[in-house]
Amino acid sequence: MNPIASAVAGLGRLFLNSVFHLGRYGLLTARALLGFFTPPLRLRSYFKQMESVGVDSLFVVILTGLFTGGVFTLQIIYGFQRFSAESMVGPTVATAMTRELGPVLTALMVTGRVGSAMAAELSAMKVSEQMDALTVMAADPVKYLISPRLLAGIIMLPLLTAISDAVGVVGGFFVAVGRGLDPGQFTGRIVDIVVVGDVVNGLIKSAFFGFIISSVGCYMGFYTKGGAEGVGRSTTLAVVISYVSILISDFMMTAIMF
Amino acid sequence: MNAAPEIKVQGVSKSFGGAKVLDDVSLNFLPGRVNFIIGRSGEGKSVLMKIMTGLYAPDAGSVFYGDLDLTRAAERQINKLRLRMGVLFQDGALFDSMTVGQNVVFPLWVHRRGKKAEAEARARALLSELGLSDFFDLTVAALSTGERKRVALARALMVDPQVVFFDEPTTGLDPLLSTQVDELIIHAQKKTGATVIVVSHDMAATLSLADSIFLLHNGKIILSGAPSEFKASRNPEVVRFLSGGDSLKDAEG
Repeated sequence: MNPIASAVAGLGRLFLNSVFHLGRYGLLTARALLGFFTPPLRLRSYFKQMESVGVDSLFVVILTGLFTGGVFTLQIIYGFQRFSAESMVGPTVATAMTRELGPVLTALMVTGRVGSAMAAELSAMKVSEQMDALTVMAADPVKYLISPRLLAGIIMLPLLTAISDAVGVVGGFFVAVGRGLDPGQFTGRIVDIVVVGDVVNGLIKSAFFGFIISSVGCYMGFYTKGGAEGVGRSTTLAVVISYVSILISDFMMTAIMF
Repeated sequence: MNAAPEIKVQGVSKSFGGAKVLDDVSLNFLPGRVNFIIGRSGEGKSVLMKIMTGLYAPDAGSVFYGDLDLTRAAERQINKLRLRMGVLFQDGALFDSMTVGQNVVFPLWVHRRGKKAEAEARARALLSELGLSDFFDLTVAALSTGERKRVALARALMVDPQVVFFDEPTTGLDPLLSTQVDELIIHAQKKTGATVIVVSHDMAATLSLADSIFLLHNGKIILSGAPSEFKASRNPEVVRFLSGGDSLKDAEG
């Protein structure tokens, strides 16, 4: 085959492969969403996943938010002081945290902690025939395993982001005060400049990121093939695809929302 | 005890990536008896079992449970059938995130069948019958291979099954554990009166336990019958399989 024909064939395979995976991902996600409404509802499974996604991620999210707010303040405070705009440090930190840094960094941290775990756990269940065992017990693996994880991602990410936003502003406050800023100067104009839309849109973005993290992690785990190597490959792919999807969708949503 | 349905596999074929694993396979299983499907590794025994449990769809052919064609039935009908089906996978396929007790109770819990206390009492009784009296609250990670198989059997028996599948139950086990598993197969059949279908290449167990044997070779059933018919067979493949001979030549070929 000549090089041009080979390249075209390669592109064709890539296109068909992408369409296949997107279609299968869409169907799996739709089945998982339907699972929210199909009895019997196993609320315990849902709460367990919410604990895993939310409560267990709290420490890492607080730490990330605190230092992000702190370092952002460190970066901007010098320039703002040069222009005597100290009173804008607090609002700038709060705006950045609520619109962008809180949602995105929380999503990236949760991807590393939860998205990878979902992919690994479901992959291991797949290769050890636990999913087959569920199926032959007439228990739908999608409803039983994926629906709770999907809902947990969608609900818990905004809550974690709200905490990250608040902690980030607190981190910024302490750094600013440590750098000689008056506490009142930092907090004084936050309420005037940061509007409800900044916070709400940030939380909507984070709900979508939660959907991406859970759905991609579950998809990669659910369709794993080939033993321990397959588990590793699925876990890595889940993290990489989630990271890229979060960053691309963040750009698109930001362009639409703000 | 319960009336097990007649199970018929008719003209089942299945290929993976162009390689034909099953080629027009037809079998009739004796209801309420112990049936063995044997054959060398990679001959498609487990694929056949997965087709019979509805995990794989065949490329052609049908699997009948009584009058119900599993390959054409609606998901709801298949699931209704599965409520009375027990499957013991090769490594047990126990849920790692649960305790032994939760694993055994699971088939009833997931469908909200019966009261929790009754289900737990039944699970404890089954575990006790299988020599696992004190294992109810243990984690799955704490179990040995043989214990895992016994817990998996207890889980399979929880639904009072009409048919129980065993996928290569003695693979990787030492002779003592293999004997233990053989006893479990008989225990399962006697306790439930179910049709037992075992996928295996353990000839000793097959000849001593089976009421009926099916030998799968190159995707086809080349002999089916009672153990005595297998012992009397002059078919070179059957003789070679029963004697376990020519293994190096087989591996090279």
